[in-house]
Amino acid sequence: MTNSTLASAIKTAESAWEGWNALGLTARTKLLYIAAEELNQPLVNWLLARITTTMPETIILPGPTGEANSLRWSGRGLIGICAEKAHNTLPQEACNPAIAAQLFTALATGNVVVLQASNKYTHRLHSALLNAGVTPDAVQISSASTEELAGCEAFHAYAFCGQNADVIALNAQLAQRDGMLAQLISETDFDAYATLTSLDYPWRFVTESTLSVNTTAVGGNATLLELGGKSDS
Amino acid sequence: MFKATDILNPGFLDQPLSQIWELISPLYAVDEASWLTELLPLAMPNANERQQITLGATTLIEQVRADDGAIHMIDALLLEYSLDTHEGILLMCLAEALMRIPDAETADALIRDKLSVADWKAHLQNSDSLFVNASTWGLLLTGKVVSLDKDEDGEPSNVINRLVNKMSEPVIRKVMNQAMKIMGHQFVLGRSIKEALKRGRSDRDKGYTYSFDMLGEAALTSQDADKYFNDYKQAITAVGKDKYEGSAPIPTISIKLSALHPRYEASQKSRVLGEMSDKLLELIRHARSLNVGITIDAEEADRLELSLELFQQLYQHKHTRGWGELGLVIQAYSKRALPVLAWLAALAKSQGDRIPLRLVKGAYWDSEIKNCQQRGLSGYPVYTRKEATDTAYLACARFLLSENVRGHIYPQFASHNAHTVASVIAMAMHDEFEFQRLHGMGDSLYNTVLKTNNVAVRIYAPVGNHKDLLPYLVRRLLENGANSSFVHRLVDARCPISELVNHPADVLASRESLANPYIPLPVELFGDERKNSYGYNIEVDAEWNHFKALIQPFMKTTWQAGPIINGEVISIHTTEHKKVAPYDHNQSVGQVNFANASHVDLALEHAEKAYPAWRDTPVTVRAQALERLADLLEANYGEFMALCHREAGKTLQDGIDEVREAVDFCRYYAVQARLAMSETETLQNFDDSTLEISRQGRGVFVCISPWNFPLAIFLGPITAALAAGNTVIAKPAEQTSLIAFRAVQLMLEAGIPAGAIQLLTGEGATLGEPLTSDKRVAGVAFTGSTGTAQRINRSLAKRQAEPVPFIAETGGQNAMLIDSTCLPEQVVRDVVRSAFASAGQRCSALRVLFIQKDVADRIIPMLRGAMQESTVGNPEYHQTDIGPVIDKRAQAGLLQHIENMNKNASLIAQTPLPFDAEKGTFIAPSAFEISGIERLSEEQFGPILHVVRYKASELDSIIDSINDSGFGLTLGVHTRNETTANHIAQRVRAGNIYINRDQVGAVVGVQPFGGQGLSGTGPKAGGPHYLKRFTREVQSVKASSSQKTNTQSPLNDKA
Repeated sequence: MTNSTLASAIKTAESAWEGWNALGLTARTKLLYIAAEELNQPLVNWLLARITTTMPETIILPGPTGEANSLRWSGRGLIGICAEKAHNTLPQEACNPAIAAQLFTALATGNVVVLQASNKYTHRLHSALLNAGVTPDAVQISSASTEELAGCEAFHAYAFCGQNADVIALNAQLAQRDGMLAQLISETDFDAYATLTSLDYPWRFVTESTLSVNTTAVGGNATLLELGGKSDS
Repeated sequence: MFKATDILNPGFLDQPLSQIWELISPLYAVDEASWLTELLPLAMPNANERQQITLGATTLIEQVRADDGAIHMIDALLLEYSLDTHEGILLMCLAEALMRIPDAETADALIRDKLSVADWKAHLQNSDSLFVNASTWGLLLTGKVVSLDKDEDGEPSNVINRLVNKMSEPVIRKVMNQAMKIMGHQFVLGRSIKEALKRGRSDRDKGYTYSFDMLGEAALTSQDADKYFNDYKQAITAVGKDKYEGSAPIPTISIKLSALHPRYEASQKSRVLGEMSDKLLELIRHARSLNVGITIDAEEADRLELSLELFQQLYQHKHTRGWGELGLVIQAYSKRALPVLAWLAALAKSQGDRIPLRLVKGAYWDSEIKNCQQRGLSGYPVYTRKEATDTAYLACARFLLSENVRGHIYPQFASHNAHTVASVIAMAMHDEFEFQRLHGMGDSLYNTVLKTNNVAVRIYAPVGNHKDLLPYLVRRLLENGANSSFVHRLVDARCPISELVNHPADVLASRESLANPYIPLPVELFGDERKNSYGYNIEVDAEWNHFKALIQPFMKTTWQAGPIINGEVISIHTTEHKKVAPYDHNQSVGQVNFANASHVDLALEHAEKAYPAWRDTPVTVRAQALERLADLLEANYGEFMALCHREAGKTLQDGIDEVREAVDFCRYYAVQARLAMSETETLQNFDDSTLEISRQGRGVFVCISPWNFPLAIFLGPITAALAAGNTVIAKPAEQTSLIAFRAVQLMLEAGIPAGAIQLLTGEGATLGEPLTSDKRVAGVAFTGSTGTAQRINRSLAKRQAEPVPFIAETGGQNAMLIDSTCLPEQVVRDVVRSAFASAGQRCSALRVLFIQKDVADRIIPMLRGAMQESTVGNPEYHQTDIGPVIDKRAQAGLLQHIENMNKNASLIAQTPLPFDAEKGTFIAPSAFEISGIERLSEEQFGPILHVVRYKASELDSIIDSINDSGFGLTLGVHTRNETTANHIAQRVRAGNIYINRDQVGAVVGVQPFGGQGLSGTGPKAGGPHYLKRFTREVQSVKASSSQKTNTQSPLNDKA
């Protein structure tokens, strides 16, 4: 793949991020479940269910009366989904579900992706997503190597499947980049999928945002005024 | 505690004034129940009074309700648009903002925003009032069209939304503006004092008189203060020369001190008692020459003692002596009100001039409560129940009507509550008092009072431009529109009279607790979860004197610090560094011994060795140690304040905020650790096996912290790491090692094992690489520049080891977006704080202010004026707003940027430096106008603000430019348009977004803090996901029964 093709894929995906992220978790997972059905990957379904049940999109936080504080999350942005080169040393039947899980998690959590086209299965994943109605621009497929992907500063994170040595090498390469610090979310355990099944795994794909609204800016604190006159006996 | 009933003793007022003064401040936030127990006997009526009050109040209410014209104007509005409805609130929002919006586009958008979410249709024809149905809001017009359109879409709000889109927007805007003008006309007696005098004649003929108030926002600039001064002077002239020939007394003028000086604050006492007093004396001399009385309005609780000192100075001045027409307003909801009244009565008695005194219940109740909650103060300066305020009012009234006070104070009882009115009448043994009511409210009540009693009634009447007054008046509406308000219930025929004539003292006494259980004390804001950190109110004498005494012993201390390894302070092979105060390099603060690379290995060795034991220490024990640390920090408040001043150059308030944040981190992470680590989580795995997951520490965590929050951000990551079961090597910024050293000493005292916390004081260049390249390190938490974060990341990645968590909080290019619906005064106050507080040395500080061009010419001069009023100087002093920057290197970089800006941008303003600025590292706070955020290549970590004008139509491209900077830390938004606010919040990629407030001062557990993109990795400090990043999940898998016989892989074999 030429650099310009990758650049174009990145640009396309980036342009889709705002819309895809703004869809909201429910709408995104609805589409992803359709795609997952076609793929019949228990790990993917399990993760989608976990994300929908354990990641409330807004958490209301406490604070002084007259102030509304909430913690929300959204996708980090652009994520590279990649795996050890041509799956040389990994059994595909163990690695493929992990790639699928990384891809679906990235999308469910509001990210757009460039999926490394490492084998037939990745093309199948891509088709399943498009068939399900996932915004095509949000899922780019690319023949770029992991090294090529790792060299691009546009990526906010990489979801990687491979062996420890590859993770260390990729991490070292990512650290050489300028710009933002890229997150590396790697699965190296293809027996138990220790990373993918961990509690914190989907949270690695998101960035949090706190919204604080002074609800009394207009001039009064109606909630408090009501409390001041509230009868308790 | 002062015994309240003593106040009625005949000799009470003969005490020395200073003795009575001493009673005031200690009551600032006195325990509510104890003090109300004191007040109740004063308010409680005797049997005769009770009968008389009940009868009097019942008669008044009956008469008011029988009056066909009773429910009109504001009363009707309040009844119809109750504040427990969306419409009520939205109406206020629209009224507050619409008239000041200069551009049609934004005005239309605001109307669309407010109309689209409310159910106006439901209110049509519910009210008989012409004011509500015909004049208000222009909604009748829209409503009629709505009903024609109803079949098409059953949802009224959608219909209106469509209607607004369909109808010509200029037409809607015109109608709405007209409606706002009509409302302004109802609330405001006249746009000018002449108009007000003219409109007031008919009421004066009925026996009323007036106190005119030239309302507006507090002045932020000396230009605004001069404008208000001239307005007051002209008003006095007009009233004095008015030719009205009726028998009603001559009106007075009410003045708002915060409008007459841009810094009417306790911290600026010398300016208030100097230049501000001079201005007031000029007004007094003028008013006296025309015999127009002056009443000084009441303001926030923090200014009470200052205003009394100022009043005394004015009252005792030769220009005022012998006049007897300089009055003031006292708020009965203030716990200090009763001794204040006694002090004023004694003052009047000693001089022999009567003081007219308006007793009000209080207009800032909600903001007083919120303010205390935000600042973690010991209690509230006001009562928390409505009936407690009513009771206090009656206690104060009894004192004011007592024989001791007669002739010294001329009481003016301001209330719209028929029961209060009847109580005053019943308690009065003489007729030397008057009632006061607000223009547009309580007309019928006081018409009745006038007819049946020989008593004077004065109307407090706002005068001025409608658009200036509406924000203030919305406050009044909100207060009185709350359903619990007497005004609301008086006109609500559904409310039985018997409920309205209950004596508040009886109601209060019948409560299970005298304080309101629904309003927790500031320290109890987080309920049972954790204690809130406490702060001191340095604006109030009693608190400030106590606090000052805690700090003072450490103002000459010189501290010694160095590495602490395994609990031992290391001095061998260290390098000595002298510490001086950033604001005065002649002032020695102490000495720090810097570690070298060999200490790194030793620290790692001890930390690694200590890890298993600390990891296996029960989480409750670890959490308790942190909670003890929090208590120890509070117990050593004074020393940390002195350190914050002297080592970090922090001002008083910044120091308080610093200690509070550190305390909150300790308690918050203790709670988070218990939540996350007490139990094993069991879940069904994707392959039907059972997954059991628990968390434990990861090992040795390195925490590298910055100098700008030398205690809070030093302790934040450390306490999270420790609570999670890690051992920690702390590397504080070299500039603020003394604070870090003291904090670590307290950690050891709190019971953190010596092996669990290692402190390496020293330079990043020496210690950073050896620390972060060591394979024993299991994670790094860092706050600092983006460049340093990248270097640490590279160092970690070089280790040929499994990647470890790297939590980085880095730089920002923080923006604030304001549109033309904003309130300029509010914006400027928030901009000045966001950009210049802490000398701009906060990660969250505002760097680029985007102003919609339609309001730029109003806001930029106001910003310029406000910057001129800020005080840069020695941060130990109360009057200092902005201290020094941290060191010469920082200063040089900022000066370089200012020089560049001076050449390439337009200077808006620069705050003057103190005369002795060269003693330290000061930077004059500066604001420059630039063409866009693209002009800035990197963050300038200091008091430099950049201002960009934008067109309303360019909002999205402005958002793109902010996002394109790559940074994403904080964002401020000022708009009254919720749709706009949501749109911006949705599109801008920032970690912390603040709407209609300043954008600094995130509170732990309330506003989790951290950025995205170039600004950091997350998770957010002080948020629910932070501590977990310091843990490792330990999984155990139990196969399901079916799996025992079925060995087939659960994985899809079709791939």
